[in-house]
Amino acid sequence: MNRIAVERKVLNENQILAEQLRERYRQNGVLCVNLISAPGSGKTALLERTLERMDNSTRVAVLTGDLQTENDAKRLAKFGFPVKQITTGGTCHLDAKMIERHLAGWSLEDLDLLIVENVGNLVCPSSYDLGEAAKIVLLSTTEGEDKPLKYPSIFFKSELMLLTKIDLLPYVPFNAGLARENARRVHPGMEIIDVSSITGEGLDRWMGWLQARQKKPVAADS
Amino acid sequence: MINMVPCRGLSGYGHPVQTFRRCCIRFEDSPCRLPPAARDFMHELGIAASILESVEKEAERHPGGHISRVGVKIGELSGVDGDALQFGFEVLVKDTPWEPLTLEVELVPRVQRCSKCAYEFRMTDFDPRCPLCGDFASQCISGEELDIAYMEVDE
Repeated sequence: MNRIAVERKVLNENQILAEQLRERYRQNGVLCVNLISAPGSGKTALLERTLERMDNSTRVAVLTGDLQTENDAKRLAKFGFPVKQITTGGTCHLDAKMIERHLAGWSLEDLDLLIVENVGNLVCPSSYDLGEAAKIVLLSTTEGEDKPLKYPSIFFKSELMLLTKIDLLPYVPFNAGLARENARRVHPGMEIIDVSSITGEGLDRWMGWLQARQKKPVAADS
Repeated sequence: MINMVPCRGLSGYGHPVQTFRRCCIRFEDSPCRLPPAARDFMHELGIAASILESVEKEAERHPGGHISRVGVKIGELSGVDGDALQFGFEVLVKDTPWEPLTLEVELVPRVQRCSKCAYEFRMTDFDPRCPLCGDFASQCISGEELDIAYMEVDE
C-alpha cells in the first residue's frame, strides 16, 4: 500500500474555471459580484431597484439563477440591460461552468459590472467559487437574527451583508442590532448596509458601495 | 478505464441530463437508486461525486493499481457536513467497481491568529477574542478547507 499526498481542492475543476473567469474579469476591468441569500430574502427585488437606478449608459449585465422558470430574467429584463436566466434544473447552486456557458455571446469588454444572482440557498453556493470579486449575502428582517450563526460559512465568506426589508422592522419581532452582532461574530469587521427595496432606504449607500468596489483592484483570490 | 456517465435512471424525472453530471455520477450499467430529492438537493452528494472524479483521475496515473482509500479535509467553515458527505460517498461507490473504496474525513476546526500578539487559538462559539491578550482582531488561518489530502494505492 502506497499513500500519495494529493493536496487538491475537492472542487478543483470548478476552482480552475473560476480562476479563469476571474482573470477574464480582471483583464476586461469587470467587477463581478455574487448575490447569495435564502429564498425570498429579496435578491431579485433589490436587483430591480438597482437596475432602475442605473442610467442607460451603465455597462451592467445580470445572470440570474433558479431551479426552474425564467421569471426572474423577465422581471429584470424590463430595465433594458443584458440579462440571462440560468435554470439549473434542480442543482442547488450555480457553478463556474454554468457562468462560463452563459457568458457566451456577451463581450466582457462591453461591461463594467456583472451581477450574479445565485440560487436561493445559504448552504451550497458558499462552496462554489464563480470567479467573483465579492460575495454579497442578504439577510431579511423576516428571517431569524441567528441565521449568521446557523450558516456561518456564507457569512464568513461574504464581503458585504445587506440587511433587507428594513421597512418591515416596525411590524416584525426582528432585532436588527442582534442580527448585525451575530454577523460580525462570524465575520468580524464585515460591512453591513440596511436596505429596503420598497421605500428605497439605504439604496444610495448600496449603489455607492458598488461604485466604490468597481474602483478597487480585483484581488487575486476572492 | 471505466467510463462514468450521467445516471440514466434520471431521464424519466424530466431534467436535462447534464444537470446531474455532478450530483449523480454512476457507472453505465448501474441505474441510480437514490431518491430524487437526494439526487437533486443534497449538497454533500455533489461534493462526494467531485471526490470520486478526482479518484478516477488519480487512478489513471496508476495503471494496475487500486485506490482503496481517499482522505479529505473538511473545514468547519466549508459548509459541508462530514457525516452527510460520508453517507453520500458510500452510496455513490456501493455496487460499483470502486467498492470498497473508503473515505476518511478529517474535520478541521476554525483556528484564528491574533493580529496583536500572534497567538493561535481554536475559535469556539464565534468568540473572536484572543484568550491570551483579549484583543478582538484576529485572522482566520484554518477552517475553510475542502481539500483532498491523500489517496492510498494498492499497487
